[in-house]
Amino acid sequence: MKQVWVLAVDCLLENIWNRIFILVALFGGILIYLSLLLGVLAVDQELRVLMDSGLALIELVTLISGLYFSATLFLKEIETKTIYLILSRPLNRLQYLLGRVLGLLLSLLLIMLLMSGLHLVLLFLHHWSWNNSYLFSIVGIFLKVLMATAAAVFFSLFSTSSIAAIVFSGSLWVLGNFTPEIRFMTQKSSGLAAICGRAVLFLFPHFELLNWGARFNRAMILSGASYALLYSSVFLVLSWLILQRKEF
Amino acid sequence: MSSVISFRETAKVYRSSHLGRTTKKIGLIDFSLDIEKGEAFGLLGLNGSGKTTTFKLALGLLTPDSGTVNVFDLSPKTKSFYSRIGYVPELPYFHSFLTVKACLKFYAKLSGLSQIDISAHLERVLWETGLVAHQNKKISELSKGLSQRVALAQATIHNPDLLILDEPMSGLDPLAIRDLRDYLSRLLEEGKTIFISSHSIFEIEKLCHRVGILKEGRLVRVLQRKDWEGVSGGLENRFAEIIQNDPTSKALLRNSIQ
Amino acid sequence: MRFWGPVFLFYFLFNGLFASFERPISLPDFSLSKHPVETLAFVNLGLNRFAADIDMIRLFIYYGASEAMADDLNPPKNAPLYPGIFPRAEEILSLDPYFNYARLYAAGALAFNLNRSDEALRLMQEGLNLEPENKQYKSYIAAIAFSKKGDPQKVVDTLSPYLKNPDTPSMLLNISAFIYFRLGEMDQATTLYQRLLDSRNPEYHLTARKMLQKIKRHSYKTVQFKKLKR
Repeated sequence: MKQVWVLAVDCLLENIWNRIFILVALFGGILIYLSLLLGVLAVDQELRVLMDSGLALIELVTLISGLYFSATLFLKEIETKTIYLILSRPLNRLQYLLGRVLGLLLSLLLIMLLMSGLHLVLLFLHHWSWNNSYLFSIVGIFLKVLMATAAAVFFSLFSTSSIAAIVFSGSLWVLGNFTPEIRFMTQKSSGLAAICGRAVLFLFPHFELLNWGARFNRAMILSGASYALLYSSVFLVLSWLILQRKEF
Repeated sequence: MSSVISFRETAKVYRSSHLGRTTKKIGLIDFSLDIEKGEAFGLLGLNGSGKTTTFKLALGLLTPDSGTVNVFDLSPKTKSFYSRIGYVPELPYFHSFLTVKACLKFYAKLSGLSQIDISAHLERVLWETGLVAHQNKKISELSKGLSQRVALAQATIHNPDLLILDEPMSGLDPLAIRDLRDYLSRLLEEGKTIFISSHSIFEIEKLCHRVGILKEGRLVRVLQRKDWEGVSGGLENRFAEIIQNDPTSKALLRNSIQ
Repeated sequence: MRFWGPVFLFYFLFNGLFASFERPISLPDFSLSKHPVETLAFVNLGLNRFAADIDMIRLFIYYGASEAMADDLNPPKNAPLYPGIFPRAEEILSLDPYFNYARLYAAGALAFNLNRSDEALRLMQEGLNLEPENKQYKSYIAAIAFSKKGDPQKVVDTLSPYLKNPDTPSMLLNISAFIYFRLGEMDQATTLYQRLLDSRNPEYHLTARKMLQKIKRHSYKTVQFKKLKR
């Protein structure tokens, strides 16, 4: 476990050094611009729009960072030969995988915390009063990105190009957000279309389970969180199976 | 003397698929070699001759397609296996924002050393590699020679019995090469085993007890020190002679693939 | 490789199982959408609420624009004003069915400003189907019905318990305040206009200021009249 933590901290430090603050600064700039613009346009609903646009931006920036970090993680380590220095140490490949993934998640968590901090400052400046649903929204976003990131790690080990890994996991994100609508269409169709629709429901993730927003209850949170953890674990197990056999 | 590394008829072929068409490239073929404890064994060969493949097979980073690789009689990819090996890849990368000390600490922790051992080993390795004065410098501030010393320091921080060094002298100035050679000689005196590759034949000649010459994935010849010492032109001439006068290798390779 | 099969099987099974926990969501009617590609993109990125917000801002702009800027450039004679309000509201609510404000705003505009109670009632009924216990929706439906009958007193009486609700659009406050004013209930009218004046939404600040001055003048005249009578 010690080595897993060492690898995680190393990954976090590298991300902090390289990219995190640029992303957060970009987010802050866009958010402040949006808040000024929406303040004029959204009249009665300024707070709601500021809340939604901030959360949407947090989700997008975290997702893009997560996909990029995970898709380039191993390929970059192979390119720079860092992976040889690590894998020729007395630690197994599962520890390596867990360490790097944990570091990646810590990086994403840090990005989210910084962005949420900025977002909350703006919300409080607009006389918003604290509501727990904000916390649950942020946790929901993190869990969704966790699922996409785990899939991206798997695809990055499977493919030789980081772009392919980003495209695969990005498609999973898009289709995973569309499953409630696919389910709606499946219920209204029959024959081959219904079979295809059902197959899609079995194949693609269900991010809707984590869109907790302002309306959530304990059952929704429990089922959503356990789903996200189970889903991510499956992809991590698959990644481990690949990594076990992968030659560098 | 007991064998530290033992290759038996080892072969490795790289396969890559593109648009459904698989192409094969020989990495190593019919490779048999024993390296003894306390020995410095050098691998010489042109680019793409299979030196790095040999090292990666020894490290368990690659799996042989046929034949066997045995290191310390331990199964590869186990903790006890890696705790006895130190590896320096060609032109390794270290995080530029880390100090020398932090970087070495990171690899010491990864090697599973305890906090007390880390301090002791760090002190030893900084002293041995001449990095004491540079320990608080960032990696980005180091010259190529100093970076290479860091690479060696990370490979020896856990005091391994076997060192595998892939082109450790590339890009170094003559003084840095001399320092590196001195350091490796000291390690040999301590009873370590060194498996090294380099384009610098002159250095290999000085350091190694035996040298293997690789050509297109095949071990063409293994030379003893006596084979080049006192011979006109030394190891360089022997190397050129062997590489140029090996008509069978290509035909053999083709047959093996088929 | 022998682990791959069981892992994939497990994946399909639990993923399929969790699919049934998803809340049923009706598909946004892209044929109604003014910006179907953009809406689809937002939905696919999981940003339904944000997409609804953007469409809500568009509805504000649309309803705030002059009639010439309404849906058709050359509307036929006797065509309804702002025919796009209802379909736009439907699109917003299909993206976020729990967007209370959007439902109330569109229904309020349709029922109390544009005399299109049927469309307003449809919007409110859809809301009630989604949340059968929502008392605010029930009161709105009643208020719309009273408005149709031409009974302003009952309209404001029904709406008044919910006017303090933060989701209540400023437009409805303005309408209610005006009804109170017309009914001579100056205290209630003053309270509502004052609320409009204090709100961050500047849209009704001018109206509220003018109306408060009118109420002041009206009170002064009433006092003078009573004095004269004595």
